[in-house]
Amino acid sequence: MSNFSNLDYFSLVAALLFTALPIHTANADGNPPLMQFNSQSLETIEQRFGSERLLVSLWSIDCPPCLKEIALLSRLLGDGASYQLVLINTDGPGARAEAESTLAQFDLPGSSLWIFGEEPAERLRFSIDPDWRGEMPRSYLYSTTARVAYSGLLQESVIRDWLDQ
Amino acid sequence: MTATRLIKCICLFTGLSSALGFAPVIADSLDCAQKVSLHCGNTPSATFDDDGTLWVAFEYHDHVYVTSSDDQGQSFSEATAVNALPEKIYARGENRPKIAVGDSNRLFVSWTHQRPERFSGDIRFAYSSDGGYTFSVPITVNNDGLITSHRFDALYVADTGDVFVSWLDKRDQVRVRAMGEHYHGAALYYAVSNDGGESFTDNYKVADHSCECCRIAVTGSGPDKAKVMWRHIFDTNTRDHAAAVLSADGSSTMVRGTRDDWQIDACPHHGPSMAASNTEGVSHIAWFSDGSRHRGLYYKTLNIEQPMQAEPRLMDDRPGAGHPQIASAGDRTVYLWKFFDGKQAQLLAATSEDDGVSWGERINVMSTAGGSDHPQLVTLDQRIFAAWHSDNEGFRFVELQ
Repeated sequence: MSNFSNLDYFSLVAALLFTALPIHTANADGNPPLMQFNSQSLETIEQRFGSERLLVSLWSIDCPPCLKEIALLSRLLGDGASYQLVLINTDGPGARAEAESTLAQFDLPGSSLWIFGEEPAERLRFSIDPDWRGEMPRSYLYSTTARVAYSGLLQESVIRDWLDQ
Repeated sequence: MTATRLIKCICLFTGLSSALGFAPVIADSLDCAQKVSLHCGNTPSATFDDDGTLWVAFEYHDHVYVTSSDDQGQSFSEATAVNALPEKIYARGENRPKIAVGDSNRLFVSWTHQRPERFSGDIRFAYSSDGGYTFSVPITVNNDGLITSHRFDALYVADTGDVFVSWLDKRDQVRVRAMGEHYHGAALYYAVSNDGGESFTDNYKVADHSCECCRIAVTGSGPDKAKVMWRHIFDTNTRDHAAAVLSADGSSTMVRGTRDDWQIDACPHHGPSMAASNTEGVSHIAWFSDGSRHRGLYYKTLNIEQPMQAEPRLMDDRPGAGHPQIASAGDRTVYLWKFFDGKQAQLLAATSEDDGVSWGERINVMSTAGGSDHPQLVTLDQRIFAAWHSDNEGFRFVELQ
């Protein structure tokens, strides 16, 4: 006979569920479903992954250079580059299906994938960076000392230099 | 929570809100399940006809709708669907349905049909000759038969009655890539209807290498031509603006409109705005740049003959400022834009009484705490109005005194 009461088991399971990030089952395309980004999410992301080799990239469905950047980031991951990729789509909840199917063409192992939630887009952008004027792709390369912002398609050399730091 | 408790909570909230003077402004119908209206629809575009009736086109659930108002936007008629058969329509940010009025109050509507393929679309057009009761079966204006991007339509009716539709087109990118070469951006195309919208001419190319997803600004050039302005890709990646005068016969002249030196391979999603001035051949223009020369929202006059003559004027350099619109009526020119202050989105306006030489202080026209659309300026004779759709308040139409 167990020494644990039913309540103890329940508490243990509940504790495990609440402390872990949501674990999504993969959709048919291999990538997990996009998590909803709200104005506290960047803090959650930074706490979860720390600033070691964290690369946050914002993209939109209607942004050809954004897709080029995702292709580059995906290729680098495939080449064995060791960094944490966070992709955030800015089109909002109505575009979820399109955003997921757009990402389906890319291999993004270990990446954390998000989509802007219900709050106004400008509020979500502001929560990420009050100095950002909305152009995309917009990327943030983290190091232990700083976060550097880039507007426009990232150059591969810039990413490699950052990885080599 | 039981239904009774929920209802009590709602009553308490609205009661408290009213008592405190914060009663939410709820438009007459924010629920399109009851009745389709521009308050719950998407991305409205508005224009007045010669009789002072306000016409608004908007998108809702795969249809473009048109509604009208005889009291300057205080109340609206029942909305009529333009396309009888549903089709996915771009109604987001820079890309949205357009409406214009021609001779005998003929209504013209254009929009971009969203195809399932990536970055693909077709330019669609319909007209009404019975005051908006019925619309023609929509036609596709681009004639290349390719599944590619034909998007970001702009619509203008000349004094002659000719209808100009211009858009961003990727048929040339498809052609060049098929030869194994690189083609940067899209191309600016247009077509003309000289039979009241029944049919369109051939498609005419104005320029290769436009930026791919910013709205096109359009106004008139004399009684028979259109003038357009768009974000272009100069040199390798300099995303400054170009302008062109379009003739009904397919000929056009393009010039460089701004010199901001914004070198970037990115999507600003930020197209320009343009309005006629009191001087022939000169337009007022409003644009956004983040270039080495100019960062923020700018204004200047644009003379096609000497496009770089006027000195740009910085209107707002704050990162939260965007999506400028410009309009002129009589002696007034108004520059309107959105500004997010961290909590609220504000609609700001500045006015010039001397054709853009000097400008007054910026004023707050209206605000919202929720999400909102791009604003629009609409003129009627000497009067200028600001149109703005926001999630919480619906469609607001405010005269700028």
